Amino acid sequence: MEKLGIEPILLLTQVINFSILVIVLTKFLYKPILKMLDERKRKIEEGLALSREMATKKEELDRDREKVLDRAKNEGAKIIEEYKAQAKKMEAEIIASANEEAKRLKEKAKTDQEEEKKKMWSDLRKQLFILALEMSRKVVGEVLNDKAQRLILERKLKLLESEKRENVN
Amino acid sequence: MLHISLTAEKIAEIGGFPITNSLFTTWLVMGVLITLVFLTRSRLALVPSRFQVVMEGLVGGLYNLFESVTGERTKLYFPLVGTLFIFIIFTNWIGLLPGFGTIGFKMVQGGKEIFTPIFRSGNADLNTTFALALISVLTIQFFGIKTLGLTYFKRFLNLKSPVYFFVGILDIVSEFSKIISFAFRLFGNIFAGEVLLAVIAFLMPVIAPIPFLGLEVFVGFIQALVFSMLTAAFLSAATASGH
Amino acid sequence: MDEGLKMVAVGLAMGLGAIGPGIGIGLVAGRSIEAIGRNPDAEGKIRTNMILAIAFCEAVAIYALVIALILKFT
Repeated sequence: MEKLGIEPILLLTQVINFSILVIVLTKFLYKPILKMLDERKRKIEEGLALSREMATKKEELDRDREKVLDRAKNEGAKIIEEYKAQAKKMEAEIIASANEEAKRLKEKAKTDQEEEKKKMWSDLRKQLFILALEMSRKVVGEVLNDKAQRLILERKLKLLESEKRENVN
Repeated sequence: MLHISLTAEKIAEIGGFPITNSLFTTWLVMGVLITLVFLTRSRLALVPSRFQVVMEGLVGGLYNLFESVTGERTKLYFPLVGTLFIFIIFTNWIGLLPGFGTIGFKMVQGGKEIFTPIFRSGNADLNTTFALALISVLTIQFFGIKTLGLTYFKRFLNLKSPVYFFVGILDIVSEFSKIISFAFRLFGNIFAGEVLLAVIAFLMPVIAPIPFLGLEVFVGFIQALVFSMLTAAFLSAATASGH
Repeated sequence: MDEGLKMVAVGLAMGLGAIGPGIGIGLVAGRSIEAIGRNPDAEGKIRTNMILAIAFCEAVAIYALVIALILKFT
């Protein structure tokens, strides 16, 4: 054994050396690092679980938001429809009333015109009569006496009257 | 001339206590490891630095590796097998650094001048490997007894039949041969590697050693793995009930 | 004792002792690679077991090494 270099004291020293190494490494390297690895694993698992939870929550929220948006959209559309219908009704009413007004105004204008025409006609006839009388007096007065004058005038007037009646009718 | 020595050389002596070059290197490795440990420990944070990631990868990876052999009881065995792996691989690799086996001084011993290197890989010394083997095998027995109680000894002494009795004796022998094979496997591989490198460097010092250095890096890793994995396998075999 | 004869013995012990483990390691590695080829998913487990089996084979060579070392240095 001696020739192979084995010496009990050196052997013992190496045993002690290695034991010291085992103790130091265990206490200051393996335990803290394995603990740290475990803790990190736990933390990562927690984080993953949290992120999963968040994802599901977000999905829920998204779904909710979509629902609310849908409802709002539907309601808005309904309201717009309603207002459109109301507006159409109102439009029709306004148009109808305007038409009526216009018709009324037209009627009124027509009657006014007729009356004016009638009045114009009667004025015209009166003046014509006076003018005829004047003219006949001037022309006839020089030739006929009063009596004949009147006679003729009356006859003429009768004629005119009948003519006029014919005209009117 | 080529310097090959089976034993570690004494480089100093303090009060009758011999300090060999491999013991010196072992202390060096311990110093490096303990420094690394305290560097890691002092900056341990939940959000890791790059250095911490490396250390966590080392420890966590080793833990997973041994978990595939020892299962749930890894927590119990990890201090031993993990430290075995880390210590052996550091010692092996530190022995490949330039200067190991070449930096030294002449020492007069028995009237002759003998070259004595200051550094020698710790595992190229039977004291170190025997110490590791002893610790490993004794721990295996300890956990066997602790887990199985007195039934642990049944595998060594079984009087039910002559066949079992003989198998039991073989098992006793195999426990001792475990020490030998652990110690000499590691020593043989590392020592042979050093001799190989020394011979190659002696024959052709420039480019030729490079592939062999790569080989020795691999061997150093494999030996660390084999030593710790075998310990883990023996541990799980010793604590398994039923034979 | 004749020093030269001792050296021959050392060489023979190591050399002959390496034959068996060499064959054994070759078989183990070959079979493991076959197994990996057949079942690539189990590579990790096969590799671990292969290393353990190789270590056991190697133990025989180590006994030869021990004998050789003892012969040489005692």
